[in-house]
Amino acid sequence: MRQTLRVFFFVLLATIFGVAVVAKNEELHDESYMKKLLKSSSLQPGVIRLTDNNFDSVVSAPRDYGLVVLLTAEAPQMGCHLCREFRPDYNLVAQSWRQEHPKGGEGLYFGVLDLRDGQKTFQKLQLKTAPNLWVYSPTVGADAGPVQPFNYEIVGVPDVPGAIIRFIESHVSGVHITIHRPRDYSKVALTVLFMVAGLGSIKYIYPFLRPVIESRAIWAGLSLVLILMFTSGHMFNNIRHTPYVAGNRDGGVQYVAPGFSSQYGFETQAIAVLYAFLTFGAISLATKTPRIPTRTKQTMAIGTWCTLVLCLFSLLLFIFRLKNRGYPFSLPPMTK
Amino acid sequence: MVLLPSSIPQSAAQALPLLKALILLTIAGAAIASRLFSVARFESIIHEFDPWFNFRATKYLVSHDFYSFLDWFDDRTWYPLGRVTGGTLYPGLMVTSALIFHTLKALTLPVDIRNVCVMLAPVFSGLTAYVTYLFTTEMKDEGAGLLAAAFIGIAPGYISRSVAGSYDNEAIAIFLLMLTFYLWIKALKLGSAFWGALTALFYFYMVAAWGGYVFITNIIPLHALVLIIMGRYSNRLYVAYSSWYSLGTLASMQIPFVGFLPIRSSEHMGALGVFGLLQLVGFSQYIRARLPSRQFKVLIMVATVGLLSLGALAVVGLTFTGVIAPWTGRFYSLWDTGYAKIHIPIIASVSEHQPTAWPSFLFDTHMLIWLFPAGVYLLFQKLRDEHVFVIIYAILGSYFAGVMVRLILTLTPVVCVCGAIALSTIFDQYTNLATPETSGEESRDGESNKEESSSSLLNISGLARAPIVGIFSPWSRVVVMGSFLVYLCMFVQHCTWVTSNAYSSPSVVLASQLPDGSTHIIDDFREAYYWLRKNTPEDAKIMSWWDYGYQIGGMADRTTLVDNNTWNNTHIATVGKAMSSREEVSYPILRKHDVDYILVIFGGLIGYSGDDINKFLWMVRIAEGIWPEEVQERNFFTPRGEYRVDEQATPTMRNSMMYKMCYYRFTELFGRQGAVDRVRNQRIPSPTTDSSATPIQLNTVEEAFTSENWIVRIYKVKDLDIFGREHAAAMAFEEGKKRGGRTIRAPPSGGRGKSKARVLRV
Repeated sequence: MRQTLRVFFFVLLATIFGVAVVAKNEELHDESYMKKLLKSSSLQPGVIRLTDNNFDSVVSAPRDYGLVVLLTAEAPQMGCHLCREFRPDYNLVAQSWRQEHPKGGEGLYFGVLDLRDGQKTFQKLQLKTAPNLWVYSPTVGADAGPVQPFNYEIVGVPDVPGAIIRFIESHVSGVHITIHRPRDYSKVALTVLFMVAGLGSIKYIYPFLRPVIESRAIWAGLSLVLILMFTSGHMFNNIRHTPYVAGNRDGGVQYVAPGFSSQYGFETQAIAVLYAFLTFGAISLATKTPRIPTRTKQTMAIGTWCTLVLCLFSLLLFIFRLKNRGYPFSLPPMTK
Repeated sequence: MVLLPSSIPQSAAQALPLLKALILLTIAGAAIASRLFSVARFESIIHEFDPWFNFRATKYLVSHDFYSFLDWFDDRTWYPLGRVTGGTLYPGLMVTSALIFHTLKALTLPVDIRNVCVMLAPVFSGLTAYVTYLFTTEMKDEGAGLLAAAFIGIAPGYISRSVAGSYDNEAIAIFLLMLTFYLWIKALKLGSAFWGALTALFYFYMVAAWGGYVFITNIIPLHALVLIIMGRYSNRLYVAYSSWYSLGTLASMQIPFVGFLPIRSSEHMGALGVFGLLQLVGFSQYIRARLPSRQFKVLIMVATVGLLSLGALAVVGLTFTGVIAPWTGRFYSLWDTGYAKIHIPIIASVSEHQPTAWPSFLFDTHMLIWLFPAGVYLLFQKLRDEHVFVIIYAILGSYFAGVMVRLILTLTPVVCVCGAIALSTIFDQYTNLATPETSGEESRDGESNKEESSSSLLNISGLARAPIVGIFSPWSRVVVMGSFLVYLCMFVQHCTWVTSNAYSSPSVVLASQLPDGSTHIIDDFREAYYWLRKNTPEDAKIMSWWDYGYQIGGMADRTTLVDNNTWNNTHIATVGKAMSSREEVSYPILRKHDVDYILVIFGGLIGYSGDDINKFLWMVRIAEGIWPEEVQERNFFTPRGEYRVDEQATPTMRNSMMYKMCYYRFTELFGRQGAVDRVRNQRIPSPTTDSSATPIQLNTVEEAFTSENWIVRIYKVKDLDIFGREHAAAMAFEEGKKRGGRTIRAPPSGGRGKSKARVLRV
């Protein structure tokens, strides 16, 4: 009930506004109207909520301000992932501008028209896809631009906010936006809290921690894990965001990436485990087996380790040959 | 490598040094010989790209004196800006070969400077093997040392950068790296200022030779810091570090390219910080001997907190005021690899800066890659001061090698050292001929020992364990030794195969196999560069993508706009824009930069995949970074997001200067079957097979030279039209087309006009 009332009230208000605006359509749209909108109907700081009712009036010429409009469809039933992905970047740009100009837009305004609020507008503009980012440059003043907006093509570039800003700056003259990423104070507070708690607790658990810190075995293990991780291509996965496994043409699962300079997550883990066993074999042969004090046990252990190293090394070279077809060397048992 | 029984005859003991020297000489010989594949196959030639610049600079140094070399302003590159070459290079490499050249000349051995440059890297790799032997001997014993020397001598990870002709900074830098590390270990062990000063001396040489000196600048302080934290501060450490740091830093600042970086840039701050810390620790040790312990504790607490906060404040303050240089791009690309991708397309475009997939590690070090962690583990057992160094080096080296392919080079020495330590420990165990005596009691002893070691898991002294008893069965010895000897033989085969197949191509001359198995030499690059040298005026300006700048400067001796130095991103973007725009847009750019010739690399005819069309997207990206309005990467992709050069290619692609210059008259080579680009396996629209296709027309440039296999194509930029017309209009006029496009052919009159249809212009 309350909801409908609110909607009703809003529609009423918007209609009045719309009528009022339409009435003086030919007059110059100056910033005061935009400032009012910015105060009255902001979605986020610096982002005006546009609707069918106010859209025409804010974009209509002549205008003395630049306007950036995101036409989007974020409702979950629309299933537009890109819309939801793009929005935070857009908000960041708008907020950065707002932060630099706390009094009002001062020449540049950011708005969002969602399909829910603007079905008529979407139809009128014959928009079939979303999201769209349009930049309207001012039509009066020294650097007046055309009435029609410029369309920013939303494509996957590495630095989306930067690309948006470059686009805006090139069409609305005299505008310079620097990005202010909002600091997440809760994170800072949490970090500080953890550090204080950590430092405090160290004092109490240090007697228990001390043997761990001073344990050579733990440091040795840690070092080996790090080295094995790095030499089996972990950083590559980290940088390139490689998939864990991939599907092949027959619909099965492909564990080993073809090609010398590509790899999958699973593949590197398998290689790391292989390396670890081979390393452990070498360590055992070097330090463990000569300490076994009985003859049969020792001979058996040495035989086992030697066989294991041979088989695993052979397997390693086998996988390597999968990636590098021309590689000629192999070890038994996997010589094919 | 064998623990010799004490009963060896004295004469044999006397022969040991001789044997060692012989082994080391053989290793050095093998190291040099395995790097000569390319000389044997092709000729004594400088490889790739950067070496050509180093070669050119060396020639300059040999023909001028040292000071004019340092003051060298090169106006034949980066036209019209020029480059302050003397102040922006690492002179170590050139000075080394110039010294060798002059020494040989003084000995009346006339050697061409080119041969000195070609052979420098192999010779220094022999020295590297010797230094690695010394270094590893400090870590374990001479047996391990000899193994390590053999490994580093032929490990592909190092060969990749040091084959004959690969005349680059790394050629001497790895030798200097290992020598500096060896001297540092020596200085630390002896606590000697003399060895510390020697460390500083060769550190200076390293700074003069390679930008990778920063690795040393950080790893030695880190070693010192870890030792302090471990409670292993000693006067030896104090003396060694202080003498190295103070002398080394002062010396390194003498290199013009380095200048005041060591006290300003953040990469060097660690060394300075540890130096300060060491003074404080040294001072507190001094005080401790003179104060009661309670007062000392209070003093230490107050001093630590006060100094730490002061130091942190100072660093933050200095960074904000700009006294300390901000973190440089290279630094970021090493730690935050995403940063480089977004902000520095040039760094991202260089294939050497790509992360390393696991096959590269195996390819470059073979079995050592899994012996390497075993060696690190063994170092943890003794954990002397110098072992800590190798462990730190191992972890850092692996990380850097994982982030950047080219840094496998700095990882390889430590892989060889650790691998040698692991392998020589195994050999020690299984070649020790003393057989243990078996008895029932011993086995019981073993049981009790086992319990003991498991109960002392958190033993501070580390990995406490049962005593070594030795090997019982001779068969065990045979199996272990035999299998590892087989692996070693495989290692040698692998190294030879990799060197021969992957790392011995000069990339200036290409070799391909003909169907009958014989080798066919493709020498297009030199053909084209010599054409330029012989057929163009000496002050001609050549525009090409930056990859070929050094080669054009070195081989063709012509002025270039951009080269591999990549110091000016905007200038490179200008070239990128000229290549990726339409002719009408490019022509003014070409005129403004006085470009006479444009050189493009095209592999479509013989399937050479490293050509400009494949690099084209980087040109577009770099140009887009500066002119996002005029050049846009997405316009080069089809609506389906594909990068195509066939009839589906986008209009932007097809009208770009680069596309036109690559495929100009390409289709004429093919008959009815149609023109196919062999790199991209796409069909180029050809007027002979497809009536809708129009032949590519070039208005502002004309073809000047195309090499035998079409790899290099050179175009001459036309002068302004003599009547002041647009080039396209002038061309149309020449071809007999009026602006309106109406042409009338005169009927053949008599016998004269039979073959040539004359064109009348109405």
